[in-house]
Amino acid sequence: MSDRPEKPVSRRKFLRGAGVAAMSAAVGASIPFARYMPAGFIPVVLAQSAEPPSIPGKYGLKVLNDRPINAETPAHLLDDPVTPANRLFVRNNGVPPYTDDLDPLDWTLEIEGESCLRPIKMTLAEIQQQFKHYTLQLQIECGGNGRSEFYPAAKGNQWTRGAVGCPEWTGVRMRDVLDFCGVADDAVYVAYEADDTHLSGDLSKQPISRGVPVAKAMEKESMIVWAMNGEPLLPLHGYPLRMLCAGWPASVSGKWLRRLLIRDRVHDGAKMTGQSYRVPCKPVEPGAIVADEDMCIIESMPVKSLITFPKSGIDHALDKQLQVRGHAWAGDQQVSRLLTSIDFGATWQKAKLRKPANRLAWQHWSANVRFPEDGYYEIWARAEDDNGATQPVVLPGWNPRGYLNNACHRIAVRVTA
Amino acid sequence: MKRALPLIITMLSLMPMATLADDIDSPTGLKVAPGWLHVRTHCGTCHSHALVTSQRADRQTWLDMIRWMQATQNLWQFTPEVETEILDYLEVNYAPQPNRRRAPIPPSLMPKRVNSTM
Repeated sequence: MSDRPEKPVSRRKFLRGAGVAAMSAAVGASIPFARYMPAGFIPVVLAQSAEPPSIPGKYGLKVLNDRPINAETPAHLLDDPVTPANRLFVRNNGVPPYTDDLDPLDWTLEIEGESCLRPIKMTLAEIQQQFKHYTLQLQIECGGNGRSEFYPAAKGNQWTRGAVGCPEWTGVRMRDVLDFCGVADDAVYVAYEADDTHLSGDLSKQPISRGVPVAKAMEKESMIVWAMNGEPLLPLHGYPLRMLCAGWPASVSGKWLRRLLIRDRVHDGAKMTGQSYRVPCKPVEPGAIVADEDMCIIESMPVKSLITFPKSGIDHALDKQLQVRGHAWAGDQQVSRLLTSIDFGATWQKAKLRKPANRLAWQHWSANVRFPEDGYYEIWARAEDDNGATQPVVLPGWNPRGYLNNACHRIAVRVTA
Repeated sequence: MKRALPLIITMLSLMPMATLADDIDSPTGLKVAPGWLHVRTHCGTCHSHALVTSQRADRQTWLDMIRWMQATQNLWQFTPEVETEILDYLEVNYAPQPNRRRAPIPPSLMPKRVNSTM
């Protein structure tokens, strides 16, 4: 995989200083919102290249979009118990800030809001000095992971299965920071504001500003982190500072964290309202048009699992046992068992399931499979959480934005005599 | 290498087919059909064209997405003629696929075909 910066850079050089008129001529139409374009910005029409884009620092990811950058990891590349940084999916709503030249220790975080008793501004150095450090393995998953399977097609990035991962994060507990600043009795939500910018270039608009109810923010696994797997966060993952509230849609875990707002109401920032990261409060038929007021905010993600070994599509000899393995996770819950099937769900066998490294980490499972005769098989995996909820074999309830698809993962195996 | 060879041959034999079936503009991935230049310009100024080409929707749903972008994402207003051409293009070229509750495992994740005599 080769890095891609050369070409865009040369185009950028070519266009640097070019007026809007010249740019409009190159695009072949006027650009009505040119006033919002940041200097050096290249319209995608010109910036795009025929070669499939790759992302520096990432290996084997499938890029769904390069503006904003969104990329997922094929299931078989998520086999590691702790997801390496180069295999963690990337989900951006806006343009990441330029962070190459900053001194991370000088990065400032403000804590304020209607229900913050002692608003404060701290540098990362002060945060690291003031609060106890913790390292936890925490799973993070895009709320729209699996969207591509919904019919009618749901709006948004067409994720298959790979917008999930479970690295190890180092930082401080959010509750230690919140307690330090004082949470008033009327506090309802803890929200973030960040340094990424809106795709349209309009600096007055935030691409995304979400958060969690106070109770979730105060859990001992909710963190403000600066490191992933012992290294500084990658720029695309929020360097130098981000939130991490595992088990909920990853969009609650703000990147490039600048402000924490202790709100006296449900946060109303970008992508908190309307239909974003919401599902119908009551089940609806596929294709239904649902009014905004009938859409409810997604909280905990549902029980889910992946088969990370073997890769789908292998040939396997009939006389050999096949080791199958993967991970399972369940939002705020723990996974209590994992079942596999090789006969399209007619019968299910219990797999070996390990405990999580800590609460809200994914759990590893493995099974040894023997096939009765040669032919085409699918291996299906199905997890069950400690509330008794399991993964559906077909698609779960349709919703307008295609969130929360936790249908069981399937891989194909051809067994040869 | 022994395992990779059939795959490479399959890919080579499929590639020209893919370009013949639809005339695709290679920088953007858009289908070249009436109205496509409007989509290239108006949609591609802010976001990747992959956001269009990966999506399937009926006319009303495409219009809803445009209205949402106009209301919240700084997309500008189109003249009625341009809007009609954009919707005509999207409705025809990126229409919903056949109904299903769950599709088979995609071809890219299936075992390679060994014989084609059947």
